[in-house]
Amino acid sequence: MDESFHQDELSAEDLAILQAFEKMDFSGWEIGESATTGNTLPPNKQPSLPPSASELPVSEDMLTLYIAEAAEDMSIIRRTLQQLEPDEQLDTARLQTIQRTAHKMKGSAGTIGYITISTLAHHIEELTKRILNGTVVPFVGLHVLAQTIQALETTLNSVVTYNQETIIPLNELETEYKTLDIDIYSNSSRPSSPSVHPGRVPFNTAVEDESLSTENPAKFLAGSPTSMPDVRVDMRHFEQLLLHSQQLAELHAPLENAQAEMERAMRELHDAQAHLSHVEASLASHLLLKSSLTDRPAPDERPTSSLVARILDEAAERTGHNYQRKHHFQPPSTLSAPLAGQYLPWDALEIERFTETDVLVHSLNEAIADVATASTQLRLAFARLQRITHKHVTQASCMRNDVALLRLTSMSVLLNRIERAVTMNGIARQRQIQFEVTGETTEIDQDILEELKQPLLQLVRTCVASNLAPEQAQGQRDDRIWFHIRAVGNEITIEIGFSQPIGGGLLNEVQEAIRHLNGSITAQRNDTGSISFYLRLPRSQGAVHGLLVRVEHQQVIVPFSQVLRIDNGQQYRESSPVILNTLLGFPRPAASPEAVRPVLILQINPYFSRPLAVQVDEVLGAVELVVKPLAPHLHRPGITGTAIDGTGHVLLMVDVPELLRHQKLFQHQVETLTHHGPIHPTQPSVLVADDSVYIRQSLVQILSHAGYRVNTARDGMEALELMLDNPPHALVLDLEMPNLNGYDLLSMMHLHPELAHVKVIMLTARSSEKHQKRANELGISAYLTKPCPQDILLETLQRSLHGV
Amino acid sequence: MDRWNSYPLDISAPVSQIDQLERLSDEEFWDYAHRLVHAAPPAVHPNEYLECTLRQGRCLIPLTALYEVVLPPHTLALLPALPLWMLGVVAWRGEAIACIDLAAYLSNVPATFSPQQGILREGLLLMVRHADIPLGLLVPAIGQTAPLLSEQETPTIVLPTWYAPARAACVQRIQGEALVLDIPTLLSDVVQQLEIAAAYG
Repeated sequence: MDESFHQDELSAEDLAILQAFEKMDFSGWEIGESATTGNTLPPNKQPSLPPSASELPVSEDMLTLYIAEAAEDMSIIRRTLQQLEPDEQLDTARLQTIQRTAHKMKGSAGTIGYITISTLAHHIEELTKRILNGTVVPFVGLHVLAQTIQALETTLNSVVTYNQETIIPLNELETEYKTLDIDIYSNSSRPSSPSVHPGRVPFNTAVEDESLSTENPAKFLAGSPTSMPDVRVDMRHFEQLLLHSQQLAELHAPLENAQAEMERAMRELHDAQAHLSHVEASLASHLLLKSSLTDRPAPDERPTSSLVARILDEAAERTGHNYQRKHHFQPPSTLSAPLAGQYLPWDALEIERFTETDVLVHSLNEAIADVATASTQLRLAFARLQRITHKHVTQASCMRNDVALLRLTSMSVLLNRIERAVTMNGIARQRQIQFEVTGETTEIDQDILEELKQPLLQLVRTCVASNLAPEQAQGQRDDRIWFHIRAVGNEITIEIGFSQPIGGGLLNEVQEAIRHLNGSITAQRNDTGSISFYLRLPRSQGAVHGLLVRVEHQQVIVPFSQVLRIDNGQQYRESSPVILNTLLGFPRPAASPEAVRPVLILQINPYFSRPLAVQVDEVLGAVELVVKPLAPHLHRPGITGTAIDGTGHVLLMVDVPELLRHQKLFQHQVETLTHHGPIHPTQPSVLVADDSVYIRQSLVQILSHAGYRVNTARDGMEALELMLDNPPHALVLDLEMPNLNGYDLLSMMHLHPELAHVKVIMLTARSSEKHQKRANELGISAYLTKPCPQDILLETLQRSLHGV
Repeated sequence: MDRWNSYPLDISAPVSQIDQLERLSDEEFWDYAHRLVHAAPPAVHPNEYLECTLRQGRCLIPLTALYEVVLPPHTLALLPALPLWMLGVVAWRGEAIACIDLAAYLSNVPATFSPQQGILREGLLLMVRHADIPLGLLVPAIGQTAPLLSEQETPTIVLPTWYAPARAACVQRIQGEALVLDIPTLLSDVVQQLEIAAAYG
């Protein structure tokens, strides 16, 4: 039992649990192999392990009881921590309360087989002890304690929700401990075998599934069907989604009405067409019958209306044309025979009578009119349906966008965590590091942020830990780390800057994660003389609003966020603005007629101090499309992604300031090359990158004497800059250097295909096979160890340059 | 790919595994569907090749590397700094992929289609994929599929005059007068060329 408090401080229930635990026989339990990366106890010190929760005969009632009790303990710890934090003085009593409660949790979790919870509780207990005895600085200790409590709570929640412990918080925490130089397992009170002290924590996590041991939480979550990642939702976004979904629901009734109206109109048209068809058939058969009787004496075709007959007679007399009407009325045969060849007497009542043909023609006219009316109705119904469908589609598109927005979260979520890591790492190393942020409200997809979390934390921690001039950092020189975040369309750019020289070996871990996110990372020297890393990432898989413009035969999207206004181009007729087609490097048209073209006035941005004017051929309108990043081999400066429109066309999303910046850079390179002239082919150039002045000078002497043109770089960053300005034929590269080490530089060189031809000879004091293997993987030509005889160096260099 | 492998379903398993499908979450279901869409076509005879007629001659492409043969889209999008033999990007299964004029690439001359207009009027697009990178190869016409017989192997490859020596590694051998293309090598080279073009552009 721990000496830091007495058993009589425990409740009767607590004592009963501990006593029951002590009575258990653990002698037959075997030690399993650790599956976690975070658990660093050496194998010979791994305590025996009680069976996992699944192996123990724990009833559901017991489990419920345990969870209720653990929740209560958790609440005590939380409450006490809250009371503790604001105080400037160390509150010993409260810390002891936390220690006591954690001890109890450790015991009960160990009993029931929740190893991770038990371990975390042990860490809390151990931390409080160290804070109390002064081995850990209180400020750092309390922050770490808060993190450990948070991890414990998360793990407990995973048990409640999924009936399974998650190892991720523990792994993350232990990484954090390492960076703060807290060896949580080093204390003498390290738990020993449960056979000796059953209340101690069994530190073996072999019961965990191997997949849980991964350091990549995203991978773990994706692989575990029962533990999908949670998404935190901003209330504003949620309310917007709610509003839009209500509006969509409201459209349901009008849509149904419009559909019903459309169906009705179609039915009516169908009926009208059927009637028309019937009348047409009747008329056709009637006319057929009539035409078959044409050789018979014509029946009386005299109109039955005396008025009409009189008018026709008068007209016939006047014009000589015999106006005959169709047969309207068939007189009774009894009458027609004696009166054949004579006109019928006029109807005294002058009532117009109709022949069958008249009736049929009339019906036909009516049927045609009915079809026309039904067609008009159908057209109207269709137009109404189209209107409502369009509204529906727009609304659905809004909702789709809302859903994409739901996944977004502010970068500040991660930046707070990074700031904490910077502060604590700084304190642990007695440095006062300023942490500066711009653009922290920029939103990014939560999945992307989650994947970024570990690499960025690792990058910052390593940079702080590997600072090469800590003595300069103690207030004598600017000691800053900054994050400048900028979003353009669907792309986010993060500059991570350091004002102090940083150590090498950082890029490997970060690069892989960034590549996985379809992003890129580059390094540049910043104003302070140290390094800034530039990360470019997609910010979401959601829709992007932009302006669709035509550039010759191509259509491209310019993000709305870049456009200040659209000018009709009149005022730019003389001043000739930048032409987007030229910026994109697309083929020029043979001859384009003089015309006033629209000009986009862009927002001011960090690259250009005044608004830029860019001429396009036509502004086609606003679009909202899902923009995806291009595959790495299709990445082009200033092209942030592509969208596919409804007709299957690929549209480029452009970052106009970046296009301009790239063009200026390119022009500068061309001018430099023109100014300096081509490299002399007979005198190969060699760049020597080494942080040792002595080595640099020696190599310059040797290589110059051997007829090479030699340039030198003091660190990896300088070497990269020099190579990009003027690619050498060969690079003699040291491994350990500040500001990008040899491996980092080789990784960065892969991002610049123009350096693919540079032969790299690694010259380092590291002679181990693993170093050599890594260098070979990164594509070096030769590996030499210091001290290296002059003739071997020259021979190797010559062989490499000649491809032997 | 790792995520795919972590799912319990074997994509080659019969679709009748309704129980398993029902147990999938939405995300897993769509991932599964995505896998099915991008899965390699059913195994054809590994020795079967598709004959393509180019302007200058014929070439054979292994069916195992071929995903689909489609009519080219009416229009394509240009990218800055394209190699002369690349026509632009086209949409395929929701992705923007590079479209290469195969004949122009093999002979290292400018594409004969009209990318300036962004319009494709003829030919067929062969969708190939290597190392998870899909590419479209535009050819004027295709012919029959034919097996590649081992006894027809020629010890030394004499490339036709129209063929660029720089692309020699992309030819496995010659059968009859047709070039048997090594698609993985060809695609790796195309990707590398595209990256270099981007850097110099």
